[in-house]
Amino acid sequence: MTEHDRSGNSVSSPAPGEAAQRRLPSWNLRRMVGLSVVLHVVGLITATVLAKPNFDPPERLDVIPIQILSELAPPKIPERKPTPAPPKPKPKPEEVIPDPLEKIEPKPDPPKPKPEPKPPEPDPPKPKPEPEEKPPVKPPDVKPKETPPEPQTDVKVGAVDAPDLPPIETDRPTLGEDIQIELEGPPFEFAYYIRQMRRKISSKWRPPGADPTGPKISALVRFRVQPDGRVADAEIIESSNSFVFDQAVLRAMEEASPLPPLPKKYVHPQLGVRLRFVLQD
Amino acid sequence: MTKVNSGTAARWALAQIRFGRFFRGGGRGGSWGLGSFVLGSLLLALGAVGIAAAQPDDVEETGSGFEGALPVDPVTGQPTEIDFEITKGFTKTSVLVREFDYDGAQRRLLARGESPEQVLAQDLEFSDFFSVQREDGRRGTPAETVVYARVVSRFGKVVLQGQLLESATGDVIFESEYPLGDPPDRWALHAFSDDVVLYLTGEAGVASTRIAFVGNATGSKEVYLVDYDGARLSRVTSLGSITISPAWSAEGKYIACTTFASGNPDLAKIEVGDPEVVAISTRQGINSAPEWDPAGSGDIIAALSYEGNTELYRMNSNGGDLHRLTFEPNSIETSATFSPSGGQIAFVSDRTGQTQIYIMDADGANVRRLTYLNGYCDSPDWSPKGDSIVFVGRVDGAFDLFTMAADGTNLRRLSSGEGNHENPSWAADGRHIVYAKRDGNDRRLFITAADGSGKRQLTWSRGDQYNPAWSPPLR
Repeated sequence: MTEHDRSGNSVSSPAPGEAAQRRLPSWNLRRMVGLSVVLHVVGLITATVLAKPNFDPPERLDVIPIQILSELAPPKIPERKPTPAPPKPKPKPEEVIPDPLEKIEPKPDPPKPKPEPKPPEPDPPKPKPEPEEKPPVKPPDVKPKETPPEPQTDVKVGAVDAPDLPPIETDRPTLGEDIQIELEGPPFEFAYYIRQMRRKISSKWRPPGADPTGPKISALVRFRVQPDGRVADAEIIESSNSFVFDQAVLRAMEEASPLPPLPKKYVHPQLGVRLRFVLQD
Repeated sequence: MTKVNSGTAARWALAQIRFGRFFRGGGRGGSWGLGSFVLGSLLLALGAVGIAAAQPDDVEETGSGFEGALPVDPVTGQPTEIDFEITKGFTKTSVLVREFDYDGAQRRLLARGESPEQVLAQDLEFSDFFSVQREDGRRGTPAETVVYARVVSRFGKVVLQGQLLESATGDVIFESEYPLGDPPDRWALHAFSDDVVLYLTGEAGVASTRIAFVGNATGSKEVYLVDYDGARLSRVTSLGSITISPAWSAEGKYIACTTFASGNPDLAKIEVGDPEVVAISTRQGINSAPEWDPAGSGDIIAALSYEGNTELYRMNSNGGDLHRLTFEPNSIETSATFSPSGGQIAFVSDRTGQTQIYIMDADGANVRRLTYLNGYCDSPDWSPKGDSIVFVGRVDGAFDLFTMAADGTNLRRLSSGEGNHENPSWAADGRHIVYAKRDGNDRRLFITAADGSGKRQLTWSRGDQYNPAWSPPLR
């Protein structure tokens, strides 16, 4: 603005040629500014246009977990940046830390020609750590608090939850096993628990060879999960009519125990599970 | 009764999620199962699994389905039973290790220049249960779970407040505190990792374990300790003699060993962290190859020769209450290893003229031969999971690692053409094995997965490192 005024004032008195000369720079400036604005706008537009298709899907992907996470965990994005920085100061402190306590030779070790980062140095703190390290606050169980855990009154229609995540599928042999899940009644809200329980049992499940021409075969097993994850009272409540198959089911259950400890927020003292093992062609 | 059906549906739903097209395509068009599954996935992703409940029209009645009503806790409304079905296969749980937050505490690196997050990620990766992601700005598949911690300084003490979160819902699966120290102590991170393993798998992790072994860097053979990940190597004994065959007590408090410190091969024990070496058995002749009962009786089995021939004996941890278990006057019995329950013992004998592995009840009865490899088998170690015995067998002139079921079946070879292997010892998880292998002129410790994959070197010190014994969890 001020420049404008200045050049405007000067126009009246001096010769036109001079004025033109003086004006020249400001014209250039204007042009350059204009050009720059145009370029920025164009750049922005192209950037958004180009970027959209690429980033859209991943963004959606991340949105769900990230949003939720940010709710319960402290501000994470700001944190992320600063943290990586500090590692700088100590680029390579690992190499030789001769242990005062150990006059032993392992330390001066010119550790073999291996490039590995494993320095055989006896570490400073003697072997003390084991006993002292008891991580103190383990599971502060808040369980009994709100409910008089009433033993199984099978009053209502219960729930099966199907918070089933597909990934289990991906690399399993394609021999005809199937996932079947029930959705019914109020949900068991700990999706992760079902997923991890299923994972563990699946990893122990070695069904006897399937008859490719045979019909679908399945058995229903019932068991209880104790708070610490141990499986109790596993029993076949619907036989596959194949002794071998039923035994394989029970064996899988036995090997899968202990399952993960029950979620802390699950107040009932144990969880009953009915589980169908299916082999299908 | 609602039933979601089919693996293809699952795969399809996965694809849907992956491409972010939650709402598009086929929910209703195809089988109801497909639609319902996608709906289920969507709801899960939104953290609103609960709504998934009933869509009566979509119900498929099957005679073979789950029958009957499932009980609900009348007070909380939480179900006391659930139903689901199972398939075969194993996939790793994806875990994202987020950068920690430092709340009033300065971020410090560990002794070897590693960040705490790095150590935690390594621990989780090692467990073999997880595919571990780091928060590094790259976008990958969203992890199912997130491991996160806040480091706080409280009354001058630095504490790690660790959390394991379910990504989809943000629910806290568990949270706990670990004294971190300043500079940070790896042990806190190991403990955190082991808790993550526990809460997601029901298994005890092995990050809080150490490995005892024999090293000769001083010119004498002494017992050393090293963390399972190669950190914190330290010497335990300073007897200036030959001290070998370290063996952990069930709770990890003591290490028994054979030492020639007083001229005779005697049994001794050391309380970890205490320099004192206490004699267990100094009977005339050989007192060797100690092994503690993992079931907690505190008893030790060892090979003694004070009655003339080397036989297996059971004794208490002070060397008293001696019971002889084997009676083979013309052969040597040694290298005993207990089953996890303490009910059975595998051991080595050359009673047929060949060194082979045998098994017997804990009282010495019911002896059977387990191995029939041509030539030579020794160094058995019974998996803490009970399902497998690892041993060394000589095949084609080289000593290789093998595993077999406790009845001698299901023989698997873990190494071949990689040199000579010695003294395998199981980790408490039954998924990893440490052993010694000659590396050039020296012997070094290595770790392998139980199927022989993922071999990696653990020690790099001067001289030999051999005769490893993997501790039980030390928390």
